[in-house]
Amino acid sequence: MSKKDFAKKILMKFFIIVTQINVAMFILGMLYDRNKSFGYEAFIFPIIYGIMSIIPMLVTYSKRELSIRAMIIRKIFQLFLLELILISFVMINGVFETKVIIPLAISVLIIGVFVYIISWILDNNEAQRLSLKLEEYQKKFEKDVWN
Amino acid sequence: MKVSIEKISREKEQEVLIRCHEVNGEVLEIAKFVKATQEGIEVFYEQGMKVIPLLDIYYVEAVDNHVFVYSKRDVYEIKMRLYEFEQLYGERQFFRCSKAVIVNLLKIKSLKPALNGRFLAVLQNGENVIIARKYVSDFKVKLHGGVQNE
Repeated sequence: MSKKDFAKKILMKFFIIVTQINVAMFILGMLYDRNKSFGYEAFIFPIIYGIMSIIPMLVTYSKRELSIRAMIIRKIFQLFLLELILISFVMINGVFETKVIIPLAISVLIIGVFVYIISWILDNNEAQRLSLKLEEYQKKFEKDVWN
Repeated sequence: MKVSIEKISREKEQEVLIRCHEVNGEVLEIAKFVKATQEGIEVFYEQGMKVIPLLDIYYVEAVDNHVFVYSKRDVYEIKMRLYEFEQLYGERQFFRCSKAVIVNLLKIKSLKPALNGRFLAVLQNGENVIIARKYVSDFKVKLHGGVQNE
C-alpha cells in the first residue's frame, strides 16, 4: 500500500473514532451526569483519544505486501502498543494500583484477541465461499477455451 | 494412436488435424491442449530466449524494475512492464492481485485468509501469493465474470 493510501485510511479511521467517542460521551453523559458543566478543554479529549487509538495502527504499514507471519508479528506488536498506550494514559491520570492496571491490561488483551479471532473466522468463511466461486470460474474457463 | 508430423512450406497455414473414429474424452483433451498452447509469451533466461505458453504461467511479479514470470518450477524474465502484461492479458485468466503481482486464476488451488482483509492464494505448485485487501473486491467481480453484486 502506498503511504498516501495508508494515510487516507488512517485519517478516515481517526475521524470515525473521534465521532464515535463524541457520541459515546454524549450518551453516557446524558444518562449518568446530565447536569455536568465543562470548559472548552473538554473538546480536545475526543481528539486525544482518537490519536491514541490510531497510533497502534501505524505499525501495520508496509510498502510491500507482508507475509502472514510478518503480519501476525505486527498485529501482536500492535496489541502490545495499544496496551502500553492505555496503561500509560491511566497512569498519567494518577492511577497506579495494580488492581486497576492488571484487569485493564487483561481485558484489553482478551478483547484484542477476541476481535482477531472473530475477524479470522469471518475471513475464513469468505475464503471458503471464494474458493467455490473460483472453482466455478475455472470450470467455466476450461469449457470456454475450446468452444 | 499413431502420431505423424509433416513439415510444410511457410506459405501454407499450420494445422493440427486429429483423425479419429469417435470424438471421445481423449480426443477432446488433445484438442484442448493444442488450443491452449497456441498463445505464448517471449521469455528470457540464462541460456537465452524462448516462448512459453500463457497457460504455463503461474504468476507474474515485478521486482526492482524487472518483471518475472513463474512457471511450475522455473522463473523467467519478460521485457515488458507489469501494467503492459495486465493490459494485454488482464481480460483473460490473469488478475492483478497486488501492486507487484499478477496471478493466473487457473493455477490457484485454494484460498485462505491472510489477516487484515487479505487472502492467500495457494497455487498448484505449492507457492503462495497474497491477494491484497485493495484488490479483493475486484477479485470477487472477476470471479463473477465481471458482474458486480452477484
